[in-house]
Amino acid sequence: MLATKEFTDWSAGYVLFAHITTQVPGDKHQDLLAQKGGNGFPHLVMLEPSGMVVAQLEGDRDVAGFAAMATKGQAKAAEIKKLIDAAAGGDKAAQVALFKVRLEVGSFATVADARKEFDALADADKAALEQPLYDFSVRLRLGQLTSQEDALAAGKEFAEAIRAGKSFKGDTGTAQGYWSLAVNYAKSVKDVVVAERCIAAITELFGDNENAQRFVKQLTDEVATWKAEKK
Amino acid sequence: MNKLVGVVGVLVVGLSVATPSASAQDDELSTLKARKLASPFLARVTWHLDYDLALADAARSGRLIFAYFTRSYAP
Repeated sequence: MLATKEFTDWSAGYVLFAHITTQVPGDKHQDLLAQKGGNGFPHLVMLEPSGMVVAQLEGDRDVAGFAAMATKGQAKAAEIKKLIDAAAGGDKAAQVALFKVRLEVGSFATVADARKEFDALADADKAALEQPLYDFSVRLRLGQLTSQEDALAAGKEFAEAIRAGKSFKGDTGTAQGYWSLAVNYAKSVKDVVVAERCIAAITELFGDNENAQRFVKQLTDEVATWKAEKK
Repeated sequence: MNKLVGVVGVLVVGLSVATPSASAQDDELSTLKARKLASPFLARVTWHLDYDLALADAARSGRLIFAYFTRSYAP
């Protein structure tokens, strides 16, 4: 599709950027896919001029799908521009709203970068941003997994948060990965508390899906076995 | 002693065949990257391959960036 005349004609109004993850040592921005919310290839998004993701491809990978994505992107970019201008003018509410948008749209390369700006906010503003900051950290973590061992380590981190009463509250795509890894970890150590919280969350999010129902049933039976073993 | 040297020698050769050196892996990755860069879609119209240059172009022109993420290290 990208080599067609149809695409060439349509794309004239946009800056075209192709990012190739090469794994060649020294190549720049090898984590860019994860930063921009991607966890697989190909990944197609619109970015506004400071690099924030303003739309993701939801339809078919054709010019009609790209055009729909671009239209959404234009609207979101206009909203963001208003926030940027208001924040630059000293509007505190706009500054907080802009920080939240930046967490959602891949504006920070690392959690440390985001936390540095978060720590500079007033305490009253921080409360409302704890969840978006956590959701951002989860998206980035999932997008940067390097191995099965790393996935288990991530699952352990998620399980610890779940035990502490915190969990991912963002998009369902990321939620699937989050709860899957937490379940895998819980199974590896037979953690009843975490497993039961995963069951509740997966039921709430995906309860209509037959595969999810089967998965939940299996996990529920396993947890019952762990409980019996502990008696 | 000669037998021990022989065994060690076989092990060294065997390991070097079984485990590609880091530089051989890097060469392979570079070759795959070059192959990807020769993709037909990149030749039809001007694509930025550098993120920072894409951002600069977008800032200058006021246009949105159509960003396509792909990989070369695997199919």
